[in-house]
Amino acid sequence: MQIEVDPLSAVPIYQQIRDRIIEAVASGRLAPGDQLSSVRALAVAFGINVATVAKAYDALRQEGVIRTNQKSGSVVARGPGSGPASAAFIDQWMPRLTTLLAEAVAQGLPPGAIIARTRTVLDQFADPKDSRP
Amino acid sequence: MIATTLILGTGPTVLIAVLMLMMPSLTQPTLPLGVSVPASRVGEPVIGQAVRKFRLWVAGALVLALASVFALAWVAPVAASTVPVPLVLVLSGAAYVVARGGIRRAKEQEGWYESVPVRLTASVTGGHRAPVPFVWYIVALVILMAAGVVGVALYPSLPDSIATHFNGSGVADTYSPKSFFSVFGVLLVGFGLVVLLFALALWVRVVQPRQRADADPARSARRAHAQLRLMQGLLGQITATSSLLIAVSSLVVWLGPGEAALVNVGIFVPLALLLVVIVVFAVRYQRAMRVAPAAAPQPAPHGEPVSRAGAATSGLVASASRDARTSDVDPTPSDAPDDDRFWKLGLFYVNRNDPAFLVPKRFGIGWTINLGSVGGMALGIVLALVIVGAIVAGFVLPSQHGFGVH
Repeated sequence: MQIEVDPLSAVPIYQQIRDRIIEAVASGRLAPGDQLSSVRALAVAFGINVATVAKAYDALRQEGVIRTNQKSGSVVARGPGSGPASAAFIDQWMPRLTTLLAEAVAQGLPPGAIIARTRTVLDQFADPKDSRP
Repeated sequence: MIATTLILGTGPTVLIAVLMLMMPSLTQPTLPLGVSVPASRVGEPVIGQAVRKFRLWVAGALVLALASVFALAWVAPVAASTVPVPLVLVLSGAAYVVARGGIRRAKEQEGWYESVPVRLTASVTGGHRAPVPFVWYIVALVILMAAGVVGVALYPSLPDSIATHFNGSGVADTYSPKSFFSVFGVLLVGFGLVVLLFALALWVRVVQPRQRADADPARSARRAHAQLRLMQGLLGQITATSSLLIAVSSLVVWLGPGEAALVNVGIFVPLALLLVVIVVFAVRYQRAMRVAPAAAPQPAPHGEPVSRAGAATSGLVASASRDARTSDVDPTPSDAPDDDRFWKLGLFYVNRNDPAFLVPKRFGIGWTINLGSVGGMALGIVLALVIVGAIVAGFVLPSQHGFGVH
């Protein structure tokens, strides 16, 4: 599963790695049980600092999206089908959703358009094959 | 022994010069003469000019080197077979540094990378590894063992003194009493070489592929994989060819070290085979690096799904192999970042943040050491000492030049 990061972006690279992996999990391109490269191997493949990849994996581990152990390395630990979201997750996700929606409303995007776009994105997650523009 | 001198002097020289002349066509189009350029600029006239300038210099270096072989062959055979290769290498290196300077200046002055989106790309699931082509290592061992069997059969009839060293013109100049080591020493070195190269192949298998971002990420992945696969093949074929050279040289020593024709055939045939191996490799490598393979419908193995930045918000979630839409303009065309600052003279890679010990060469085939890593720095110092030592030894002990075992 290939990902791309923008080395010149204002978004830190570890954040981009984390975001791309979350998106892949949402769309099923990474499924629970899938093996991820080791921190070092991914850093070598990108040619970036090991600490950057470690930070991305740490974030994913904190969120429960990946699991790491000595023997099998890092594997994807959850996906859309691994049970309902925890209350703790929803509690920390809601403020971010609020901010994201506020940005759109403040920029003049009507609620209908926001919902339509949200639907499009969710549909792509549900069936990534149909998402080609 | 003029013929031997001419083969030794011109063979490797022509091989190296031809490879140098081909190199600008072998490397990726976005790395002309090792300068990182965006895909939209690969057609710039300044690039064509620089490549022509480089080739003109290399051709000049080849003419000069060949002239030196013929000038020296009769007066100084050792120099005639040892001078031309370093001469071509040094002049080509100078040509490379000078010619690529033109591209770099144009790139900086005209801001080729301004507002060009750049990406780093890699597989989070490890990507595909290139298998070790075991068959070539088996072929190499069979060749050496066959030569060993012949040696055992010939052993009783061999003379009491065995040629163990040859001078630069292929004339035996040192003899040792017949013993296991003086008869089979070269073959033992051959076995050691095969084991060493096999270990190298196993090591290369572990090397992470390093991709250069491309407008088509599937193509970028395929290219990185093809690079590893072809390199593994080349390593195996060179192992087999080298063991043939070693087996043949042992036979030459046993059957008649004094016979010039035998010596010449013994050197010429494996060298010619090596040339074939390299040319076939070069053609396949060029196809893998340059010809847009996106046009070829090649579904699963390397066309991994790709997750691009901002994919969800821009309404694009790239999926599966994108081969199907080759005619479309890519919605987020992206290039590899301009990483020239990590490539000193376009030859030496120094990047402290890059944990890789080996990275694909900028201009050339194979890998080079990351001198910014701790291990790379250590190995770089060792290699530099070995090279300086070899040059010093070459000046201090010119009589030791030649080939053979001591």
